Amino acid sequence: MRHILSSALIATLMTFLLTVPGLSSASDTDLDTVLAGYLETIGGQAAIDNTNSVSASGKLVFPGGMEAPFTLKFLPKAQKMRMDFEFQGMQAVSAYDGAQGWSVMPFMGKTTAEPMADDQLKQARDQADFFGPLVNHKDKGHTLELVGVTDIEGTEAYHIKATKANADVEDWYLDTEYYLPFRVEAVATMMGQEVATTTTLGDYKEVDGLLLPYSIQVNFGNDAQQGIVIEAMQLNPDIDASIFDMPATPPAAENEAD
Amino acid sequence: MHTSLKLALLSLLASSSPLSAQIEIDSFTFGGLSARAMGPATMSGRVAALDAAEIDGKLTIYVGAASGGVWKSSNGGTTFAPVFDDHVQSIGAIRIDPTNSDTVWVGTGETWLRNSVSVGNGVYRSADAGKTWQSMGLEESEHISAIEVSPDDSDTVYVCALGHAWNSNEQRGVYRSSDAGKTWERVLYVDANTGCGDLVMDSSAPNVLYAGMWDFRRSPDFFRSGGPGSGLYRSLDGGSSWERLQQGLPEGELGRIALAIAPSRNSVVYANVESKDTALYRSDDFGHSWQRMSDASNVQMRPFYFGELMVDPSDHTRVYRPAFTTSVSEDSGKTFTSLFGAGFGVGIHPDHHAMWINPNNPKQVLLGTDGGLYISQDGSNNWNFARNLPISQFYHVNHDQQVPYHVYGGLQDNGSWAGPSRGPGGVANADWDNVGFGDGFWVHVDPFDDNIVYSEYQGGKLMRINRQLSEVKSIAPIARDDETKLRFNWNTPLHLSRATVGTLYYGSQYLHRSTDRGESWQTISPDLTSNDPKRQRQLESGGLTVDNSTAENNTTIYTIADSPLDASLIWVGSDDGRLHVTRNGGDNWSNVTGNIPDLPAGTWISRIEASPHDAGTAFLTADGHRTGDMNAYVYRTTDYGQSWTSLSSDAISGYAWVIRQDIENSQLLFVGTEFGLYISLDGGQNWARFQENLPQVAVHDISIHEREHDLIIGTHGRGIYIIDDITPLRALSADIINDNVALLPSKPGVMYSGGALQSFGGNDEFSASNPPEAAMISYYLKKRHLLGDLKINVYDSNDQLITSLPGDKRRGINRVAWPMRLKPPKFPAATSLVPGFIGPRLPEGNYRIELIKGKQTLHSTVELVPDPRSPHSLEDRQLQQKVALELYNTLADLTYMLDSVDELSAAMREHAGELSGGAARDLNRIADKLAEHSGTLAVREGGFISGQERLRERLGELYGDVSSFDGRPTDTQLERQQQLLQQLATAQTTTDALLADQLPRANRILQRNDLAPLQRISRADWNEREGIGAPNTAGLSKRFIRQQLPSLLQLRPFLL
Repeated sequence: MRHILSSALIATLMTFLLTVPGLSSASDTDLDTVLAGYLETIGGQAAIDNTNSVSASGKLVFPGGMEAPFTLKFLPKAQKMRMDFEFQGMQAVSAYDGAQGWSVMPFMGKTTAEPMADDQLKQARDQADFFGPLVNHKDKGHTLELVGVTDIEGTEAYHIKATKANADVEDWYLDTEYYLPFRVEAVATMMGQEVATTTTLGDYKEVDGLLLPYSIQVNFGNDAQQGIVIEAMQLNPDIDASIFDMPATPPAAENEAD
Repeated sequence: MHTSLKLALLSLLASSSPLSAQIEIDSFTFGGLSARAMGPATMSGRVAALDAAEIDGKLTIYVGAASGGVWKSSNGGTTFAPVFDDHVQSIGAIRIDPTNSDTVWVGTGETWLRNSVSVGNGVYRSADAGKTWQSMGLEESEHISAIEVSPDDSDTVYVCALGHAWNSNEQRGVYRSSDAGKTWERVLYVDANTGCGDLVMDSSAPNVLYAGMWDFRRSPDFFRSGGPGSGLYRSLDGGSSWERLQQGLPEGELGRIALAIAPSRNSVVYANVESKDTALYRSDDFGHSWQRMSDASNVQMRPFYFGELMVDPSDHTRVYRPAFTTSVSEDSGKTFTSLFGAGFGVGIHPDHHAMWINPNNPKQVLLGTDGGLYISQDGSNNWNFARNLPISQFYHVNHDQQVPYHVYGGLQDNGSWAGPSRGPGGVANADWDNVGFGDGFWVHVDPFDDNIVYSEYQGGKLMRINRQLSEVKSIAPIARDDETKLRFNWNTPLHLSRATVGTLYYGSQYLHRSTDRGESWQTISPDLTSNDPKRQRQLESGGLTVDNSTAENNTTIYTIADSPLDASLIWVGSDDGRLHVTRNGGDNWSNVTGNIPDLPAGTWISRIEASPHDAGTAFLTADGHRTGDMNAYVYRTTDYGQSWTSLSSDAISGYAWVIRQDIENSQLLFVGTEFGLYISLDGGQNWARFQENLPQVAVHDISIHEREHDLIIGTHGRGIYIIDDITPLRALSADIINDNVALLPSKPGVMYSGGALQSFGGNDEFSASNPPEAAMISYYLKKRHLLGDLKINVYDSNDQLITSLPGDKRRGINRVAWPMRLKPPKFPAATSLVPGFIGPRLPEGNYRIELIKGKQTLHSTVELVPDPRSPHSLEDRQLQQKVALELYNTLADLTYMLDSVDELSAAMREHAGELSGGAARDLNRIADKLAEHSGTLAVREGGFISGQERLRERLGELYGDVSSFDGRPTDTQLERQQQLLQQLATAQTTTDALLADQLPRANRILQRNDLAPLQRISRADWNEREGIGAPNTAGLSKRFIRQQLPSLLQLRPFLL
């Protein structure tokens, strides 16, 4: 962490000295500088490139304080993602195998995997992009634009508009001191309705040379919200790639035997 | 330092001394301290402008409120959302681009120019269907009557700018832009007193425009509609040149003109023309000549206030005239009948201002009234009321001491109302009660009897209401025959003494006092106004159409305050700029107006506030907007009015309505202006706007709840807002504001009993949310937290960690909700949910708080207290908590039992998969036995609504029943608990026996195959793994589970 912090500060200072003539402000910075600052702060392109797998565990926090423990597994390069969480002793799964999404939601009695509807699939695909649209954006076909410097809840921020390959737009806000994203605004489609989502990122900590957020708060529309608290994260654990594949539905005969 | 000097200094600081340290703040200092919108929408507010369009087979509606912003519905009015909260809230006109519905124009500043009209600041454009708005200039227009967008060219836009209401100005008339609002050209202008009152474009020939120019002026004491500047104009060349139309129109001075072109025959134009003999005119030749059609009562009704006219899209002879009610003519305006059986047959609020008729389906009609929006699907015969537009215009707010407390207030044209500050499942429209009619203003609850309410209606009509009986007694003072007639303001001040409980003060030009609930009144002052006859012209007010609704009454008392510290000290301010004070209960009065520096003579004293901290200290706001002076005047005296210090600041925007000094922290001041709520933490030296969930709406009144420490905000346009618990704000001292992080105090967490039972009312109605059912933990961050942990740990009195909560991270005040319960119980795996969604209550008392920010740790405490209404004795509550906790632990016992068995059977099956032959078969057989045993204790077949139950389900149900009631469990439940405990004990015995028998068999097989033996997880290890012993939190209403959980659980779980 100490290494990351100091490099973040140096990066900030360096870009300030190198790119900004005189005493002009953050508003003169260009996109490449912001992205370079961001990469430097979180640990550099090499550290990202060396990340083949990620696992994380923690708890989902719902309004009213209810919690559900979860584990998350990613294969960033293959864009695979799987989340398992537990509620009242029941195990739920939400996964994306790089092309298809599926879930197991046993709360209403259905314990087999079901393919995701388009809305959820789109979200799952976004989530499987572990490092998000600011990293390797050209390879991913995303277009980034530095809209300018703005103020978010009293914090000065670079506003980057990310137009993704699928034409979705996300607005990313990075603080001007460390170049760390702390807010993402997007529009999700849920049950046929567009819902504005605001994601707040925080509690950045170092994991094997990468600085990653341990606190993620997602607000849907005006009221509903979901908190994600990460308690442990690991880079490059061994992960069996088959866990991302949708399990085959048990043969009908077996069900009847019940 | 000498002790006496120290004491003197301390007492100075403790009082409302202006010597306090400066505390520089901005809006973000208040951080996540957020206002809660109470609505209500049971009575809405004035809808001033409307437009709608069919998009994707659905009706999209934009509603412009008189002073409550723009609301958008994309579903024909089922739901509405405010889309203009970052801008001025007074709306005059809305126009959807006819060829591109993503482009929407809003003209700010209502033009139904009643005495209480608000102001705008120009024209705005959205290119994304209302998501974001850009100011497009004309900032000085103040009021915009209409906007027209050419159907041939989206960049060609016309704005009908009325201009200033209260003084002369030149930014008025018709403006044209050919570049979508980047630049404007004033194409029709008469003079600095005449604005554009209505503008219509011929949609089939967009170069043809008609404009009604209106010469008018409002003053504090007078209104004039009509003058030499008024006239009807036409352009045939897209606004480049205009001719005045006169043939067939009345001679002499004209007033306001309302216009409509018949869409089905564009040669037909209607004009409602105010003159000495106001009438409806029709032209059949594009306005060249006019025929007088009707002077029906609705046609002549208050032309300054009712300036709308509509023609049926498919029938040029069918004309709608919205006014007191809406009348319709089916003979080209010759005769009119009311749509509503004289206006009262159908429950439609009178005073109609805006109308929209679907051009593709003329049976579909939208109607904007003083009471909100109505929607008809059958050609205006029957109406749905939009119960989801909280745009009510409060003049004043108040509160009582019930639990939960109720808020009270009076509304422009919507009476007076009372509603709870919280309720089961929130506060719905139906939770509000009517406590007065007409235009409502001050409401006070009798301090001895919550059933008795004092309210009033316009012009000083004071009432005492028995709420149980709905019985009204008129109690206003009346002048005796030998006395001068009493003059009452439109918004007459009624003041309930803060020093002498039960004493009422009421203001005419005199101050009246009653000590017997208004049965009798003493006059305790001379005339405290200028009594200037030039300001007493209300009988002639109105201009061409006399309009004496008491709205222009002047030379009256407007604001009264007695000192909470000295019953004989009373302040009185008047609408003609006089401020008086008495220090002997009214025997002698001093006019202290002249001591106020830089306050223009005659400026309306909008509020006087006597300090609750120091008798000599008072605060005042003054408001000159009715003469065109838009400055915010804020002053303080500390010497009974002998001298005054201005507390005005560039940080305060909008003319000032109200000031309050906090009842606990003398340095904490609140000011309400036309453009929002402003707060100072240093006695008025530095100010910042409070903007978290509070739009830039006019704040007319502020009330502070003494017990709940809530700030109650009465807005004129967006209903009531409550900032729940301002305790953290009170603690923001100069020292804390410079700390990187600081814990702030909060009020104790109240463990309210009860909740919503059930409701399936759809989502077409506004409902205010409750504050979280939680103890709030507050802290201050000097800047946003980004790196490392930010969390809150809560410990009980045994220093046992109860929970760890993620902390909010924004700059300024942060508040985190702790639900005051253990986390929900553990359940063994099964195939159905059981009603155990909330954890048991924690005992009342103090809990230790630890705020961890990176390497820093701060400590504080939070207190949990029972519901003060609770009918349950401490003994019963403790029994309930004990039984709920026992059942909670019993569920954990069962979960351990089944988890440990299930893990063994899963491991056996896994090993069986690695082996083959008899070993695999035997292992699977043992696993089957274990699974079969588990299946006798938890339902694992079937699913939702299978009707199956086992011990898991029985325990879950009993736990749910006991934990959701805060008093003594029933005897039946206590007996049931013992039975289930017995069942658990039996299950433990059979489980242990089964494992004692089967596990060694399995392990023998494994050992034979060189595999490590299996071992049941110990309870201690399981506890640690499951976080038991360091339990987390819980608390989730059943309603939430039913309505939101199923979808929430499937929502986007992770974004990085």
